[in-house]
Amino acid sequence: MELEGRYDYALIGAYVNKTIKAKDIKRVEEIIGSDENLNSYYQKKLAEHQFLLDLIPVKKITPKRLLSLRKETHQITNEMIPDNVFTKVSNLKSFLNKSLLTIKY
Amino acid sequence: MRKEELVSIIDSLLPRVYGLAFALMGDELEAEQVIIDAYTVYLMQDKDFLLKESFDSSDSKERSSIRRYLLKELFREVFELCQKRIPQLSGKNRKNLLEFESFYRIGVNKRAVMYLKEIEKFQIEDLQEIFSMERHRVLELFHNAKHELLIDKKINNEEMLSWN
Repeated sequence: MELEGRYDYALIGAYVNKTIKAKDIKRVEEIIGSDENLNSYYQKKLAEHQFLLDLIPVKKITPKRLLSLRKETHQITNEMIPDNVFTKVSNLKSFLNKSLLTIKY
Repeated sequence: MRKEELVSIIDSLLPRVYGLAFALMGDELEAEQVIIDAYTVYLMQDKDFLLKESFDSSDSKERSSIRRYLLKELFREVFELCQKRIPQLSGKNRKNLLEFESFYRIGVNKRAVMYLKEIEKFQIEDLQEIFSMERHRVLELFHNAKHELLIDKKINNEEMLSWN
């Protein structure tokens, strides 16, 4: 019995961390809804999770820096992968596939 | 995959890769440099494979799976480079990140797991791929990281209270 209780607490922890197995989700949602103690443990775990999220730095790149980073990566791509000759061939092929003149009757 | 397709996908992934690099390095310039180096290393290793692979960019499913594949590969390279570089840094550049001091006190692999799991919302299976680790090892890192962050914050709060 005690073991099952501990298992429920562990399941709630996994549910909050999103490391829970799909088959256990329904059970956790049921016990959170029906047991007051487990519900308060769940709320505590949620608050702890939010607290942890606030400790992680989330930095968005500025548009200016993103532009310069893109330029750098384009340059690397161009240096490492020379322009493909097949591009020219495929351009010519697509040009030749189009009709130059259309005669309307 | 054509070169233009690769460029377009990499362009769209850069903000997310920057997010991880910054979280690990704690400095804008260092983060950018790591991305540039990681991308160079990645292209050197995988360019032949990328160019050889046929890829239908009009198929949204295929486009999305190749995006995800490239994102994981770049995350892996960034993580590996950060692991090598962080011990060489003094941490002086992080002066303006005092509120995240606890985060920068845990190891780089724990930081990476926390960021990818909590901010990027990756599943444990994805993290296994990125870090080339078994499931139990990734879970161990994740739980240890959480524990260390909570303990560290608790100690800091108690110290601050004792000063007042």
